[in-house]
Amino acid sequence: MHDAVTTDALPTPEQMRNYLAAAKSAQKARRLQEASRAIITGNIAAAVCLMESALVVQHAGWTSNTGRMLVLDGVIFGYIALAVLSLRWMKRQRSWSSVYVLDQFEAQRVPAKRVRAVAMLIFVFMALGTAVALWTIDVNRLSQSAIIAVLSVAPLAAVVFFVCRFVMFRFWEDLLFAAAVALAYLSFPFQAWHLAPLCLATFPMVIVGTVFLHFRWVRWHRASAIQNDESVSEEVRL
Amino acid sequence: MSDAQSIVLDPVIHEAARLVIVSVLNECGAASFNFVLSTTGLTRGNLSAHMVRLVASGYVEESKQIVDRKMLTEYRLTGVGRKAFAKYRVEWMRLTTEPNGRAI
Repeated sequence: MHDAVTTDALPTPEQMRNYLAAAKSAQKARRLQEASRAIITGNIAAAVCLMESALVVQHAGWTSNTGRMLVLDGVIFGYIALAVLSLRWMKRQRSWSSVYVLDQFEAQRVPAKRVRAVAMLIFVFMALGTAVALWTIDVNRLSQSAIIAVLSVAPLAAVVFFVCRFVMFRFWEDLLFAAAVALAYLSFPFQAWHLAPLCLATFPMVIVGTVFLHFRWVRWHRASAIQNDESVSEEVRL
Repeated sequence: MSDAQSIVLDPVIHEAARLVIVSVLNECGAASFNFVLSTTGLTRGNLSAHMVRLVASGYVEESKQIVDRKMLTEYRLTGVGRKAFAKYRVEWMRLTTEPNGRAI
């Protein structure tokens, strides 16, 4: 197809500069792609914080048994509604703009295929249902430390996830999400129920993180829209 | 260095502007023309010209659609393009690494 360049020579300073410039642009693209999906990151953080807060509220004795069930149902359905609304809002926002970027999963149009999307949702709910059922059966046979160890897996994984994201993308918002998850779960392993109200502070933290992350994208988007204003109108004429 | 050890760099990717474009597209699943324009810092004409070459090479897939009476152009790296870029990076690392494994 092409004549390949065979070389034994070391790269020239100009070639090194080109490579570094490409690496810098790639990093910028990676960061912007993540910032454009702030709502998804925020939803992940919110889901984990909700899970941990529900656990803490259940054990802190804030409500009666019936009250607990109502709170849990409200939390689950409220979260699902919030996730659906957020994703719809993100989709609409993208359709308005001429500057957009999709990750590889989205670009393969997996969620666009309804049957696959529904199958994925059914699988997730069945997996969750099975986990809850197994937990209910086994919870009485487990020791207190084993229960704490099992329940610590999700918040630990979430904290590691957000810290890794911080290392990769250098967004301080990821550290805020990690802190929110840790704060939501803090009172459970130490059984320090007087710290339970702290879990309420995690939601403003998640909201603040999501808003700031989203505004990184908005700021860049506006700046590039001004810069490309002439380019866009040229593209219309094409 | 013997022929067996010679480093082969893909000329389509090795060009400075195309290297930036492919690096950006490699990070994304798909990106609009304006996104690539802003992240690469190239001019519109320059970017268009290099995109034509990349599309002709089969490294980049282009799709155009009209949304709200505007022509929106979307680019994505093909499987061939991703493989070629991965190979380019391996070759580049070989080029910039001394035989004892230290980076230059």
